[in-house]
Amino acid sequence: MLLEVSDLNAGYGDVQVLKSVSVNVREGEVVAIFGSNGSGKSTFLKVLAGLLKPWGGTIRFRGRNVEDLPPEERVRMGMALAAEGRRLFLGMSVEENLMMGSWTDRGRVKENLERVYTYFPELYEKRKDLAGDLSGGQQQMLSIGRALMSNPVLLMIDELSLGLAPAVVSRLAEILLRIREEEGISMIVVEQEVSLALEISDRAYVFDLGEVVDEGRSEDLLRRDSIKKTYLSVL
Amino acid sequence: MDILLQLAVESLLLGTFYAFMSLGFSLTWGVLNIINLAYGSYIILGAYISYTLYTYAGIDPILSLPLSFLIGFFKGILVQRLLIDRVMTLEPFMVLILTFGLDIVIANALNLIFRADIRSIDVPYAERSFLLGPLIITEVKLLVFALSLVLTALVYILLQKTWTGRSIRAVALDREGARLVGIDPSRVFLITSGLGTGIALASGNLYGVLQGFTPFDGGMLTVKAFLVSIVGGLGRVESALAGGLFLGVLEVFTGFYLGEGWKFFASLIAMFLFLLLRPRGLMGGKYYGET
Repeated sequence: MLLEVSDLNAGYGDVQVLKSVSVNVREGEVVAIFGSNGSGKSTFLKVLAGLLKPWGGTIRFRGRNVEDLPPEERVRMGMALAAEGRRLFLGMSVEENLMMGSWTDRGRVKENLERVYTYFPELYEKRKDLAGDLSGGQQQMLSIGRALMSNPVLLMIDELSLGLAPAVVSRLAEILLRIREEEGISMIVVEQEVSLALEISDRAYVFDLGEVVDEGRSEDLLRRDSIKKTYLSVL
Repeated sequence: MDILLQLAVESLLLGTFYAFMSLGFSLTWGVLNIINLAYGSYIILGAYISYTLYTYAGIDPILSLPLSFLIGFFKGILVQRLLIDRVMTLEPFMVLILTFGLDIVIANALNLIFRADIRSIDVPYAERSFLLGPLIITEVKLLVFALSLVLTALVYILLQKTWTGRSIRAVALDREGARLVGIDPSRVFLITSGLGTGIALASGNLYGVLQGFTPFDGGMLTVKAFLVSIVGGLGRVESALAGGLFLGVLEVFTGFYLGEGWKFFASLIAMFLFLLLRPRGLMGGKYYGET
């Protein structure tokens, strides 16, 4: 098992958001997390990346407990998050943003750049532009590209499709599948668009009000009536 | 016409020094989001270090500049780790009080050691000047200008072309984004504080050869650094240059047309107007590299 999260509790101030969440990811697996607004998906990724300290519970990554490690240590171990709101360095060029992604892997910045540019040729074309001048879709590519620059074992993507045109989303999905095929990276994709989430993943977890309310193989969930009714608006 | 040209050249020479002098203030503000009220007294501290070395050991202030920088660098790291780190995450007001207190401590310590007399570093080339067409160029001003320009360029290159510099800009632009790629912001804060304080002390060496100083001139220099930072917009080297040149023009022209006594008053008025009308600065940008 690559990642074992068990009994995770977390929140902001006095407000508990995650309630006893347990999630597993195997080597090479793509896991989707979906659920309505405020269900704790983004909070979950924040805790995984180390940006938010959990109240309790354990996170085992590659056989080591990481819940007390700072984010930089987790990046070094192979976790990378393309975060909500993307958190790009808007005043830096596209290429500089990517380079910063290799902060923990500085010796191989050239190879990493080449690799990311083959997945995202549009970033190569815009490499001299400021990140702040990119379109939403390009910024999302940059955010994922920057996360890939650290050579992660586990790539976590928050709100893959939020605010993006359908054509852009399907291109992103295509690229993710390609990355997975070529590099065997495991992924956790948080996604509101349930059909998309289930399409690109092997397994999925359904979050509601901070709890895992359902989980299973994506193809099974796609066929399940309760999922169809609640999330796919198919009656 | 010749007078105007002369004043313009004087403004350029002085303004470039102000740009370098303020760079550390602007940098710590942009990256750590703190306003260091002790900044001016750091500059004065540098001036006294080079004064001491010159008077008692005959070391030229230009030669002791790297030493001042190093002393400042370690002092900056120490102050950050021991003091500022502890209050930075609390109210912004706390940092103001802390650095205001530091300013008082440094000024009074200098006063105890050196007394309040005006000191000056009388290098042999202090009074030399030469004619360039219609212009009179004072050698020491030209030297300070050239060094300020070179040192400012070095800081620019450090920020733009090195990993350390990029990590500083990254933290300034998006602290959480920086953590996501594995940068430890608290380390960047230490380096930035070191760099900023180093610049302050190093610029003190230059300040000391330009004019006389007393232990209590720090407050005025902090105001100048503040003005330079808000005029250009926070953070970037280009902004500091723009702000520095603005202050140079302001001081040289007020000094010439209204009298020396009006210079500082003019800076205060300018600061007031900028805060009121253009709080984001002439160039509109904030922080290193933001557009």
